[in-house]
Amino acid sequence: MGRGKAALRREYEALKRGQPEGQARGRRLEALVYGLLESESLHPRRNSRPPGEEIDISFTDGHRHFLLEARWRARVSVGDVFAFRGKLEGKLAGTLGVFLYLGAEFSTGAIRALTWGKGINILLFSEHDLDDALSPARSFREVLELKLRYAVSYGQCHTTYRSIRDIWGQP
Amino acid sequence: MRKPVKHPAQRKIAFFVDGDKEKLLVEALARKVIERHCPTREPILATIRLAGTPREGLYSLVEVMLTKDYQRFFILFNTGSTSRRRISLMAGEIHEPLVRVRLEDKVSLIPLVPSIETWVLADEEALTRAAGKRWTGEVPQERSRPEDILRELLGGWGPREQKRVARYLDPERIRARDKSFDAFARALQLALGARASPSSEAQEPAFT
Repeated sequence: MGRGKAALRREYEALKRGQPEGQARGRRLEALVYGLLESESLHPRRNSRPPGEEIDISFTDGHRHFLLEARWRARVSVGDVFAFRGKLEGKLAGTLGVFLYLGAEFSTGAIRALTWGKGINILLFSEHDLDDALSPARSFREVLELKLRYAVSYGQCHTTYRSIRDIWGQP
Repeated sequence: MRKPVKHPAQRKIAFFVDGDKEKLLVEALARKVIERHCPTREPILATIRLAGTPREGLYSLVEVMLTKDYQRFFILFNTGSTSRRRISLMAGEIHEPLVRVRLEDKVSLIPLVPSIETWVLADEEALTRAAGKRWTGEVPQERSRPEDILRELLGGWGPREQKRVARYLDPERIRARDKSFDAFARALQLALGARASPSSEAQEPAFT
């Protein structure tokens, strides 16, 4: 049985307040996201990390399959985006990517790199998206679903849950 | 037979801000500017919280709001820094994609240096009324982060204090002391088709 959402939320707040070193922080974030996915029956699975790859977690909602990579660093480069796209391309067709970034700025061109050429198969998750997914009134599923619907409607994978709610709530 | 009176089409204006606090303060101030300078042209306002949307992707939100018939857009972003180089870089990351999709004329970029609290700190009268007491000497502006100063002055800086101070904020007082707010107020007046009244000596727009 996984941890409850309140406990996950507390852990998340503590993680944001504290300043553990890079790798330790990344591992704790990965464990937290795993716990969240598990608590929502999204069947997470830690990947075995083949050499050269850093896919953190795969999960499924029963219909679609996702690979999630969590980053907690100062900058996300074009190279990071292409590396993640490369990983997805080596997987079963139709696999979707979730790229979770905390505390990161995007290098010029990184957002364009997400939609470069072929179809979009990655959703960006910001820190605020994770905040919302962990809030008592929302869920990861709800955040994911809304972001997917928006990406389907507008072909944009970087818009945050709160922005979408605000946009769709306007006359 | 009398001809029906034609009203100019109602303007639709969208603000893009970082989060809840900015939404509350920007909406409150925008309504006061409109009330004072263009009371007969009440526009439809929308505020979108960016919540960490990467700056390079903001143009796409403007595109979506265009499909909802919004005509003018204000992107207000906390810079988190007072470095001109850093601010210029941030503005460039937003501006360049807007130019690429030819939307730059519809969008005003307003950097909040280093954050929206600077606007609040520019209005000492509002702070005094919100705090319910007058402090001796000037409001300390340089000592630490603006949020910390407000927390100290108002006994907290959460949604309750933000709502309280928003009631007392006066756009004209802020314009006189803050260039970025002055640029925002003038751009908003222009967006409504009203003549922008110069209120402070600083007339350079932030980024437009």
